[in-house]
Amino acid sequence: MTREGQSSPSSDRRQARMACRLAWKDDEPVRFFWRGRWHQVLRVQEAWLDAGRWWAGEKALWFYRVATANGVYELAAEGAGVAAAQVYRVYD
Amino acid sequence: MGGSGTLFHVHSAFSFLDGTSLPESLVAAAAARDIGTMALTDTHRLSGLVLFLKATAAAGIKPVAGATVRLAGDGGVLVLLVPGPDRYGQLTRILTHAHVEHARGAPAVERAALEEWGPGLVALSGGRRGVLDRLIYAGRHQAALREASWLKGVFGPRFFLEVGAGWLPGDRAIRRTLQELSEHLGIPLVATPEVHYAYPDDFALYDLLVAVRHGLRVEEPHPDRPLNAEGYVKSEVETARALGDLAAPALRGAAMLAEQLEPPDLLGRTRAPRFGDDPDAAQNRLAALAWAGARRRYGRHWRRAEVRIRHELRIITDLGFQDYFLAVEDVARFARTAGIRFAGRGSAADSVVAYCLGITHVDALARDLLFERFLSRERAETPDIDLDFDARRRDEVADYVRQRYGAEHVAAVATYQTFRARLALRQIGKVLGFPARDLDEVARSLPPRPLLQTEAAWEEVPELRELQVSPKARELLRWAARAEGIPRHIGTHLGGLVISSEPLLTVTPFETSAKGIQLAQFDKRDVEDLGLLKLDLLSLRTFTALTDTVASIRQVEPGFDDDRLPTADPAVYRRLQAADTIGTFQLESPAQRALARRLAPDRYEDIVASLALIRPGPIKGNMVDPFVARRRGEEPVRYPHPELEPILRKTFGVVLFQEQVIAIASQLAGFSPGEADQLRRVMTHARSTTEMERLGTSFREKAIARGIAPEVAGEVFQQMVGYASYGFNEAHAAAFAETAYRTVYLLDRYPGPYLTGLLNAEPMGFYPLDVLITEARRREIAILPLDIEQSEGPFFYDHAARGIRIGLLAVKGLEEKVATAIAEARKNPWQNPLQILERARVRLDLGAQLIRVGAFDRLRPDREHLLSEWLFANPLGLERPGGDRPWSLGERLHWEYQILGFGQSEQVMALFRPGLNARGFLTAAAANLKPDAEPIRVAGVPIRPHRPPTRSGRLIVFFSLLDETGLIDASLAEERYRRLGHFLFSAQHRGPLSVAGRMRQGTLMVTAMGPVPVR
Repeated sequence: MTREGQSSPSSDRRQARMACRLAWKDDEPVRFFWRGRWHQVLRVQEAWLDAGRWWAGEKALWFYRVATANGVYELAAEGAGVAAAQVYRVYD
Repeated sequence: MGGSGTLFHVHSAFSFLDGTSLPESLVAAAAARDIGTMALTDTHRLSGLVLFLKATAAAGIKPVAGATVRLAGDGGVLVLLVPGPDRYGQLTRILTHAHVEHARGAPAVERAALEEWGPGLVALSGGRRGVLDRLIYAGRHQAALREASWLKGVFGPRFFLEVGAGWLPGDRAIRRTLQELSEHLGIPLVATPEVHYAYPDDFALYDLLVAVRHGLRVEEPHPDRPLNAEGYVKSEVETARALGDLAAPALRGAAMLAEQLEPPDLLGRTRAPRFGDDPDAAQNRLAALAWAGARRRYGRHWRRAEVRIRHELRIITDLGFQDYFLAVEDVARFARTAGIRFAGRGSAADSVVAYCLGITHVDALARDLLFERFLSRERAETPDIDLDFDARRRDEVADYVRQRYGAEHVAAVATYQTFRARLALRQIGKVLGFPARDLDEVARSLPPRPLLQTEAAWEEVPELRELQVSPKARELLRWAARAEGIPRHIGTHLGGLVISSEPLLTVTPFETSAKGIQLAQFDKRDVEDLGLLKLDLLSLRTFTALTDTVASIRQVEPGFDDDRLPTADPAVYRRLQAADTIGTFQLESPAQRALARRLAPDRYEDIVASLALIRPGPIKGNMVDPFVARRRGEEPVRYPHPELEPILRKTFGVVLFQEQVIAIASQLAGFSPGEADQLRRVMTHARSTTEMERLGTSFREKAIARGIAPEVAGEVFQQMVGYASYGFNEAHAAAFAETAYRTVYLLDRYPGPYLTGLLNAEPMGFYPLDVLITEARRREIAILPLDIEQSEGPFFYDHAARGIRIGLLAVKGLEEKVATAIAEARKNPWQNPLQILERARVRLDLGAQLIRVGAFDRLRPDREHLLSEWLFANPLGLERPGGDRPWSLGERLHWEYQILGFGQSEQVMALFRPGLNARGFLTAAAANLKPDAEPIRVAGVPIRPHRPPTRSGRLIVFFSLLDETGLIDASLAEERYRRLGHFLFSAQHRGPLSVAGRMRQGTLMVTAMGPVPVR
């Protein structure tokens, strides 16, 4: 399982679009602010740690697959309690 | 005392590329994490178990034996744990089955094997790679239910569902299903973090090793590549955090399981075979054999050995080693009866009993050797008696042992092949994407020292500095350094056989070695801890050479017996003094020959001393110069104390042997010999100044109490400290000297048969074939070329022609069965000699090689035509390409070096000789005669460049140059090595070198070096 590399201008813009802010409780995200509004996490379906391309200097990221009222999202953050995060994937 | 945490699924480095940490590191990490019960569950292997048991005993952790096994067909794993000593043999049977019933390197367990030997063992479902989790993850819940039911049927209440803490995607969903299974089938959940390394920092190396295992580049994904660094030794708190809602029941299950498990009962008892049920039987038998042997060895003077033999027998039987001695004597007797040349080596030669039993050939009584260097009450370890056998027949001895004790009771000892510097560099470099050519260059240029040191000193190693490789190469070196020393796969110990009184399966699983031999899973240190009897049956090619030499000599001197050689033959010592000993045992290296020029040996003791002197210890400890000066009478002989004269007289006041260190401690300070040997060993291995001071104080006090002056006691102790680590075992030197003398004698008196024996026993010794062939020519022994009708398989010495006939087996890739077929095929008449090859069904390429090296020259000198005939069919009978022109020396040598590895017609430098002569280069033979300090130039093929330790600690390179007249030894000092070393060590520079310098005491001191001028 490897993550996509992100180094081009287009990917930088994509990164900006996916940026979000997390609120935590007991080391799990309880809501996230993305595209102008808060999304309440109803349930954390899965949580895992991905070391990434450590040989290229990438940092490890925590991933959370969360169910909200309007869909399932994968959020990526550097650690529990860190507000700055990314919406990594949106499930239809 | 151990804590409350548990670990049941742990892979050490003995899972071979599925774990990075040795058992000791894992246990240390576990102790720091408050773990109370810990299993070691390497994949299909128990190799780490002894180290694990010792480490857990020291750490106060309850150990559990176990293994991870892969189910055949399915590919999913199970973890098996041994709940108590009485179940251990079931696991060894399952693991043996896994190895023996499947292809080597791909062990697997059949379900039938689990059904037969599984009940009574504990089984865990194996985690994410386990049989159940894989099915659940794939959505095959019904299949998972069936699998779980089957496993419960086999293991009953001892089957548990493993709940991992790896923070992997899918963990939560899998845990939910496991919880349902648990409730539905009544199978307890057990918190089981899966461990592959001790600390989070080890993760990256683990990922690299997994990539090595699968042949991947680091960028390539694979299901076995670890996603994160969570495979370390976790505390209960860390595990609980990962398990979420299941933490409480899973941890309860783990605690419950821990209570059910008991450690195996493996260490601390003996399993050596006994000679007879009566406890005195072995003792009596050993004594009887020793006395009978004494009469044989000493004749009517046997009583001189009586006191000594009684002393040794008492210690041997008090320590309970009589069965071991009898086992070794039995093997020695078999070899003697079967006419297999052998000799005991090492400190066993300190024993008169071993001499009387015919195990060693050194009279320890006559040499006044200390038994306690070999065995003492204070040390009480099982003695180590190594036996060297004729390499060709060593396996017959091993077969005898298997027959004698039963195949179930005998196995070869394992050895663990670890990542060496070059392998680590190549394999990790490949993963990290370095070009193969770069890796090859760096690997070949690595000096022989740990990689971390090399990396730190990169700029100072000329052959590395010269390389044009990526700057990331140094980073690679750091990664490879972390892998250096990690076990990589299991191999077979060269000579070790282990014997058990109980069937070996009660102790170890078996694997099958590459040669099809039954192999125990433990190495030589572990088998000793397991109380097994280990025999060291080593192969020595020199003995093969000697056996062949004697057989050849007996063709013309039927009564020749090399056991009855005169020990003071002046010709032997003249040869040693002339340093003309290339091809001899232990005395042929440039360092030995340089010593011989200085020492001018003229007695047997000089040979014994030489073998002890040319070792890193005495060289660094500055023992060589004083010894030589005193032996030559250039310096007065002094003794640290008059009481030490009897001990040091034979070495002119210089402490040379370990036995002398022991004797000094006994004589001056009143230590018993056993205590003194302990002192010597502690001094050798002592790490702290505190410990050394304590020893020094003890020694001084005791010496002073015996009337020795304090300053003398202090000075002697300091000298002992230095000599303790540098001294050599005199018995070992004496044992080797016995063989060394024989080889010098035979080289002197029977050079043809002896050099032929050496050529057939290769690879061995210090020098390649080209050197030995050149030595033969130098001794005016003809080199009779390969001949399709007259050559045998091996080289043989033609007494009538006074020449060595090159053998068919010298052709690379030509096997014995082909040589036999050729010998058979040529018996019948032929019209075209190529019919010999056709009848023998020789492969096209091999036939061509034989033609190219002139095997048909005597019958058909037109090689070109013959090659063309052999290689190309000509159904139309057209005129063939190729002419009648005889091949030039250059052409012939080109093929000879390629196909035979040596110059059959001539040594290659003969080609360059006219040009070299014109430029004022000397031959090696002429240069060796030049006086010291005269500038000279020579050219030759560099032989065995090496960088041994020196007294000053500075780096000096020694090498030899070979030309058609022989060898000249040379040395390169440190400053010049930095400028010129790449000519000798770099992969980029091959072929002959031209060298300028000045002779000094038989060695060319190099001032300049470069390629040979071609024109």
